[in-house]
Amino acid sequence: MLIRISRFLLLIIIVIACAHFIPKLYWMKFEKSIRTPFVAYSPVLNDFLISSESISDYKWKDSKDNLYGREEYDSLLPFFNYRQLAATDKMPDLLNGIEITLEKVRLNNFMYRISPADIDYIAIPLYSMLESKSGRVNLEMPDDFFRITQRVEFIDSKTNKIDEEKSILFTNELIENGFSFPAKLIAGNPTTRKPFDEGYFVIDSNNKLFHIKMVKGKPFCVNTNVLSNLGIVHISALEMNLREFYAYIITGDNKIFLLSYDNYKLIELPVKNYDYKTDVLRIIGDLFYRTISVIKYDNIETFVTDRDYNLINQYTETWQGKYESTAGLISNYLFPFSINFGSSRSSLSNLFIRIPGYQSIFLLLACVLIAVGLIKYRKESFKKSFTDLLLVLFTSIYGLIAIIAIKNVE
Amino acid sequence: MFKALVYKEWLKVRWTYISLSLISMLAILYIFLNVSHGIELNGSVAFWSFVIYKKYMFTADITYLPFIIGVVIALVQFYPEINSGRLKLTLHLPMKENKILLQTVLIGGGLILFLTAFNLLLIGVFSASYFPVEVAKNTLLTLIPAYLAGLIAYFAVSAIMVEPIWSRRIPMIIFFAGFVSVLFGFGDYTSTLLLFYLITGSFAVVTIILSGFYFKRGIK
Repeated sequence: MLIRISRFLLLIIIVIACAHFIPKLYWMKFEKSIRTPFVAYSPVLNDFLISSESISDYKWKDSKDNLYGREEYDSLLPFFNYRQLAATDKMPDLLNGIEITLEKVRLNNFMYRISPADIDYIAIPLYSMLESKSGRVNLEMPDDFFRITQRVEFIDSKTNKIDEEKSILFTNELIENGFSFPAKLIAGNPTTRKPFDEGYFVIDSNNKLFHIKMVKGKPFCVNTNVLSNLGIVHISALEMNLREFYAYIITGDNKIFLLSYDNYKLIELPVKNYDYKTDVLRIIGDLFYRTISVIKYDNIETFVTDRDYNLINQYTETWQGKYESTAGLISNYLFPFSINFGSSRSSLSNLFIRIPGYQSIFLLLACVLIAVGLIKYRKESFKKSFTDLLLVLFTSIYGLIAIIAIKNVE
Repeated sequence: MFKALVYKEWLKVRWTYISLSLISMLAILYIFLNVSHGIELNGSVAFWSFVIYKKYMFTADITYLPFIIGVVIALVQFYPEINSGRLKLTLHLPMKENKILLQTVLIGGGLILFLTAFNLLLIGVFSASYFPVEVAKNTLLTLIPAYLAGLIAYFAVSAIMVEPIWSRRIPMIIFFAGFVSVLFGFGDYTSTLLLFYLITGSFAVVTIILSGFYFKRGIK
């Protein structure tokens, strides 16, 4: 009995290895790259400009399928291509009645991307509190790192000891502003590669959102009064010279908000069908528009708003996803399930099990028949091979490989 | 009887085990000497930032060490048994053969587990002296898969050694290699995945019973 059990457990290990490596090798051989289209909004055409794989090199199309060459494209997206236009002296001075200067364009241009892997990430919960008003042009990294557990603690990296004085100073300031420890989420940019510093956005244990930074060595803490029942899952803080909003906020019900400089007012982006667990979000800002793309594995939806975030246009394009391609359709017939330990949608190593559906039943039946044949051929008793048949019934080709590799004990 | 078995196994592996323990200790010392050197050259802020924000794994050099320890201990423990047919004698001891085989691998596994705990303790203490406790915790978490791989590799190689026929040995080598290789991936392992590997990895403990069965039947 024990021998049978030990063999069966070995079979399970083989099934796991097969369920990971066979689909992996299959996809290494047959996966084709899928280039997601780039969708921008032209203030000249008042229409979308799309570059995608289906169009030949250096060609762009609008939503009515008119094609444009490279130089036309440059002029149709003057904000996006301002450096090229300025270099060739083709930058317009006036657009839609508004005076255009390079400074204005530069100040208003931005591009930001949030992928599911940015959200499904575990950070080491230690942060640098930069001095946000040092009077110097360049930001400097402080010597210490802080944590927010039952209080704020600053740890000096030179000694690996807590700076009590500074810790108490910050803890008291937070308590005075109604912060309840510990912090649930801390978001900021601990880098000197930014124009200025806005510190951190911190969710306390009562789900209140606080803005915390250091101003001239003193703690600065403000309750933003953002609703605590929002269900925030992610905050991307950014420091842009435009100073229109502090951060992107993503909630559990897949809403996207901007946290504005106007008294921390929330602005909801008019975006539909976004799922933070699976979709990439791309936000392009310029002098006239905000172009927000939700990129799924087989389609892109782009929403354009004016500067007051009113939706003015919308574009959708779909393509063949990985599992709709020929290789993908065949894979659905081949593999009853597959086990992956990594995913483009996560920064973590985890169990990702994919079960495609009914198509794999055909191969499953064939595998069971082969297993029956094999048992007969090996002259094993069906009673003793019952678990083998059961294994093949549940794991199809993987189970079959396992029982071929490790013969049943007589 | 168990005591005698422990003594017998210890006699076989003691010099290898002591050497591997010394090697792992030296490797850990090397790693933290490197950390201290890195901090001296780059400054503590830059080094800490690199570790905290970029998740720089300063222990990357010892990723494969637990695996090597597991494989070497299994080879040293089972090579003489197989090569000079001593296992045949062992299986004739007045004890159930399954029990004897299980106890043999549990002794080896126990030794490796002890070395693992000692290594992790050392790394934890060193990490906590150079970095805040959050970093020490993260360092240990990132090493758990590698040490788990070492343990699974030990049980797998033991079973592969005892297995007498190459036509079963080869698939065992291939599938175990694939199974263990997942633990050398990158990124943070979630507790779900570690638990999954702990459970399925423990299946490998009893593979020796199957190999032992074939071994005994093969030489009859």
